[in-house]
Amino acid sequence: MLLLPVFALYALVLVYPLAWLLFRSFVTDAGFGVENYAQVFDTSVFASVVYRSFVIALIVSATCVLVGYPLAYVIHHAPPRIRVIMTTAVVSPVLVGALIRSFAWIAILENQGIVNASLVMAGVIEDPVQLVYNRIGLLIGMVNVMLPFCVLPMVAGMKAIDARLLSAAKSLGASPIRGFLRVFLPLSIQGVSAGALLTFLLSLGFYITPALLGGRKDAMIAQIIQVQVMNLGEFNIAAAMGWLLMVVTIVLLLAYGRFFNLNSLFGSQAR
Amino acid sequence: MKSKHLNSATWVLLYVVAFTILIFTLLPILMIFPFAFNSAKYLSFPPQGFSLQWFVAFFSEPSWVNATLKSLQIAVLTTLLSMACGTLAAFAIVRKKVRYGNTISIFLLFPMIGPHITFAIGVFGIFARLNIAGTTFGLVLAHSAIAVPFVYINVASRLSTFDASLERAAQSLGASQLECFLRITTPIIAPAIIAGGVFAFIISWDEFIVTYFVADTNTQTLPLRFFSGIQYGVDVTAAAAAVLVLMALILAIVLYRLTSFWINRRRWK
Repeated sequence: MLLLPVFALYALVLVYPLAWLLFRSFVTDAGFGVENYAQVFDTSVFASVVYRSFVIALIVSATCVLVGYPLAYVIHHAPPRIRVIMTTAVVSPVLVGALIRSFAWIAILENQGIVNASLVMAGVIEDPVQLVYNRIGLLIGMVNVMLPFCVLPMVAGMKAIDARLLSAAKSLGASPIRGFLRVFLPLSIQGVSAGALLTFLLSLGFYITPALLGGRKDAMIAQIIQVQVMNLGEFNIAAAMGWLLMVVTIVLLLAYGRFFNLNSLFGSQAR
Repeated sequence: MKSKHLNSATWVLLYVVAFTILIFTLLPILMIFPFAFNSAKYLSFPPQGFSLQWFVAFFSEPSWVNATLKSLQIAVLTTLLSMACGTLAAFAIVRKKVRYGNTISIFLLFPMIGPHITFAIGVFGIFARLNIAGTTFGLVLAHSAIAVPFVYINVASRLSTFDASLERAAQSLGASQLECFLRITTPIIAPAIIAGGVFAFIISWDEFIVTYFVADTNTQTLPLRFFSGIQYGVDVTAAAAAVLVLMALILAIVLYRLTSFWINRRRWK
């Protein structure tokens, strides 16, 4: 009874559109079949975009884990006051939104931007280096936008580790490094998995940053879907690509759910 | 506590690394200011001088002002709708212990991580069929579905952690169910509802991709106006808009802090 409003809302804005999209993804010129999906993998343009999107999403989530882990580690061990400041610094960019931050990256990385201007002034380079509207700019922007979504679950995961285990390792004669590698690191895997999964999923279907910071040769799935729907009117093929993303999401969530509690994936985002 | 695990040189190194990464995450936000107050005619570094010309440009351009008002309207309505839906759902799952609660909970949270581009084209198709494409009503519905998880998760975690015996105590002391709800339950979960509402507001305020597919020229929101200003070449007015948005966000967070402070104080009186 209490669930009625939310179910009505989701039915209209989520379930009905997604079901209809699934139906449309099987509608073809000839009638009904899997041609749209086949086309996504057979047409070289589509296939390369799908492949590229997976590669970029993987690079972004791997970088976020590598860069974010030390930050999460420091936040976890910092005294309360510093921890609050650092957490605020991690969360506040999320509130500002990807659009404004991607825009700022254009201004920073441009030929006349701060990075190039400083390097030229310092005499490191003669002419500005192209840092934006290409793969470099896209990756810098994506890592910047996604990092909070990776760090927060990792901090939450570390919080769940029983500190007595580390004391036990120490009192049994383990060196700090060994204690970290054999006790802390393995126990923080749940948080790392949650962060990596969130980052990967969000990156895979992301539109704003690739559209603004990437070049023509860096188009990702969301951009191709947008062009198919808005410019070419190829709704059925776009529906197939959209559902491909849904399937990847659901499969990865189920895989995560086999190892960890699915709710742990969301908990850290609330704060 | 720290020195127990690693020696101090390692900690210094770790802190340096952490602060470098924090500066990297904050860099784009900090850089907006020099651009917005720049007196040059284009984005340049170093800034040429101080000027408010881009703010003047923002307020004298109707499309920016209208988009801001539209975003505000949609965000307020979305906040109200998602607060209502999310809070009721949290009560159903945590308190009424409905069947398949865990599965329903995952379903309710799905918009948080599901592919928004897929939602966007689905909503695009359905709203066109239902004739609500391009309407404020349609956008509020779409935004609410994306914002509900944030209200739901805040209220649900508050409900599941607070001591239910408080409610039983009130009832055994003769409070009616309604009285108990108003005097005990509401004050305790109010901060969570407000926090969820703040999230919902920000989600709607920042929402881009679904709006991009569903809005028309009359319902252009601030993110859409922003995007069109920077998609091809850079309109520096966007930097001024970004600064104004930042100010509004800071104001909202201060208001939120004050409200929850006020609620907490009142509870103990």
